[in-house]
Amino acid sequence: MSLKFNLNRPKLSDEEINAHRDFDGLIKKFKEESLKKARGDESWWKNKKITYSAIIAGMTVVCTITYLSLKTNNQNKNQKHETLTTQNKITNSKVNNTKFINPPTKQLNVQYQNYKVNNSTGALIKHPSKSQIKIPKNCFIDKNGQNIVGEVTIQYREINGLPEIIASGIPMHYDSANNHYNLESAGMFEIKGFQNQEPIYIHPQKSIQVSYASDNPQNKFNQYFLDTNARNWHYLKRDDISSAASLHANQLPKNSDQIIQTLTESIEKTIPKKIDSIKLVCYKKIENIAPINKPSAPIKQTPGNPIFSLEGSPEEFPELSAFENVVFEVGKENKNYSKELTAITWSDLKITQGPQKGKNYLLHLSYREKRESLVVYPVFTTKDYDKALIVYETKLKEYNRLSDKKANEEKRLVQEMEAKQAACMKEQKEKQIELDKLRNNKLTYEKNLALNNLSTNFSNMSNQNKTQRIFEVFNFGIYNSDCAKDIPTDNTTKPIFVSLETKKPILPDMVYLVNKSQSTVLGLSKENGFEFGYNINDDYLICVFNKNEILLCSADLFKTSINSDKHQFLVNPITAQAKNLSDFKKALAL
Amino acid sequence: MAINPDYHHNDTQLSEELIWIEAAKLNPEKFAPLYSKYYKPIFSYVFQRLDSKDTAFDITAQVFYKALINIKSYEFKGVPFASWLYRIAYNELMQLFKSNKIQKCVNADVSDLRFICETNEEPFFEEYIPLLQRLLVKLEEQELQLVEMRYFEKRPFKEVAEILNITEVNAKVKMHRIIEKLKKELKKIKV
Repeated sequence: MSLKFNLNRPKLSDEEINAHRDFDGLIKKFKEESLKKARGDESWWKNKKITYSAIIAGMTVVCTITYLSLKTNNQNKNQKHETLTTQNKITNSKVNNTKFINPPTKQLNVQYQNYKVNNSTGALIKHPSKSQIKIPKNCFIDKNGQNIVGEVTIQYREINGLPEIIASGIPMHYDSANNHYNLESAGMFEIKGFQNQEPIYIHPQKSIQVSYASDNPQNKFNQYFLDTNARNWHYLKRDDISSAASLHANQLPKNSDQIIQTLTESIEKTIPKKIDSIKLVCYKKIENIAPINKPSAPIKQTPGNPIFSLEGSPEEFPELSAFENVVFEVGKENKNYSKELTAITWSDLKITQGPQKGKNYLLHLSYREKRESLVVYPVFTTKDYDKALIVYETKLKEYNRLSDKKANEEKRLVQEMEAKQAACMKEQKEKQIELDKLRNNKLTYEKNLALNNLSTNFSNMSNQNKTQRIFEVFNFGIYNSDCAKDIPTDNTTKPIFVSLETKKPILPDMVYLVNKSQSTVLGLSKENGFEFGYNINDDYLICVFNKNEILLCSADLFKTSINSDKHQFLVNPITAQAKNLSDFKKALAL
Repeated sequence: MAINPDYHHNDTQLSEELIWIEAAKLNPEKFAPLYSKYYKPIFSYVFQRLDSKDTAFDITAQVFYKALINIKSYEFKGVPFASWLYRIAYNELMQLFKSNKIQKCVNADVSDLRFICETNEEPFFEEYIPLLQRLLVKLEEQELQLVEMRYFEKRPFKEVAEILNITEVNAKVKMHRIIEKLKKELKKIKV
């Protein structure tokens, strides 16, 4: 293919070049190829051990599957004959509306508080409940992933207590790998963001920190995020509570564990590696300093000794470059030398390093078939010797100067390396002090926290002493501090609701079962006839929504109902008393 | 001669790079900072020698893939990681040129041609452009690489030598010969 010449070709923009960067693609390709290579490793199947192991493993899998399927069939058969309602049946009783978050009535819904935040500066929002929302700068992006410019609206609401959970329509059923629970909440919030009515998103490398002021001081909760696509709560982490007061007293950073880990890694790995690499870089630099060749002292020709007059090659023998007019004297060690050699007109000659490096050379002479090699010494005729001596002395001075310079440079590099290593060691020491301090602080903090928890168990929490629950918000949505409670399966019932006022049965739209003893609320499924399970020792009430009417089966009525007729539950209208959320709370008396 | 910051590193930068390399040897995902740092320089190097930008992007991707699969064998020699990447890119290009699979190309601006003349104390006239083009196209592969790196990409001899895996002195001698050759041809046209 011929070579093409492009003159003044337009340059590509950085954007165009960067658009082709694909590190993820590179890693993916690398992993795929590595897998292929691993799979294609020749003759692995010829290995008897592997073959037998594979056969045994295969048989084990087949036997296990067969056994499990037989066992499952038997269990299913047994279950069909059981009269008791199983937990599986109860789980069907969860609210399964097409709309996942379904407030029973608009008038009671928990309202959002709107906050304006400038994306370029971020903000610290102080909510009236004493919760705080810390938004870092440039935290928000639009649907195209571009940074938002200007103000955004943050909508925030907290759902505290059982009446607000009912009013919000947020489901509290939790499916953990087919184990079904009802969640007890220590506080829930929803956070959303908009700009010009368009939803916005949180930057993938940023997060909002919500310090939720919870009335519940107990340390038994986990944090969950409501995944509205999967229609389930998603476990995030253990909710380690911290009293704001004890936190401030100790000044322990919120991400102290991460800092401790970073510091430890830095002290034990990063800095020692850095020290090693500084050393390596220094020695490589020293190696790379060009060597200095010492010039050879000129030698005067020995009178009477035969000489060859040649032109020394400075490229091949740099030490000869110090001299001009050098001639090569034949050494006495040459047994093969005879005067006849001088009579021959040699067609070719070559000079190579002699037995004494830098002192003598091998002169290779050839003419047709004849070959001779002589050890020769570079010497000067009397006429040139004095001149060469002057040149030599100048070169020697230069050599000494360069040698000193080289030695100084090496010394400087070593000193520089030692200084850098010392700086690294100092940094390591400082980090060790910081780490020790942080560890001590953490210990003190944990002790204080334990003391604080103990004291809060014996005293009522006041508004000023709320428990701070720290949430890292990476996506907008609903977050909850929850404790999963088993759904009772021993006693189950399919209720018939009868109005206490009209004495007529009613078919409600929505029903919520409140377990006062466990502080849980469960939406019951209309499709499943509002069937539910209960513990005989717990206190319950049922909140019923029927068209625009709100009815209540109080704790007393509930007890009466389950004691008399397990299926008939008397409900009392409370619509008049529950015109807004505040009244609704009062009416439920929770 | 301008200094290429991607190539010239101080000790701190070299140390930092060495840490990245050691991390990437253990976990390929840690290759990211090296990829990020050298993507553009390697692409520019490849694109300088090709006509098609799509081919240049493909070859750049291949260079980084080869670097990643061979990083365990990488040995620090006191020079930046870039020289290793450039050498992979150089070998990749040579292989493709030999197999005649891609269009080999010389890309230069008039200012580059002027730069060749002026740095070698030769006056530059617009009439020289076609001749210089013809002469450059006729150069041996390594000679052309030397001219491209030295005069079009403005790399110092040390860097050129590292990439071509020759000594700095050798690079200088070769460049001197090329320039002499060009001067000789220019002299002919003057006559």
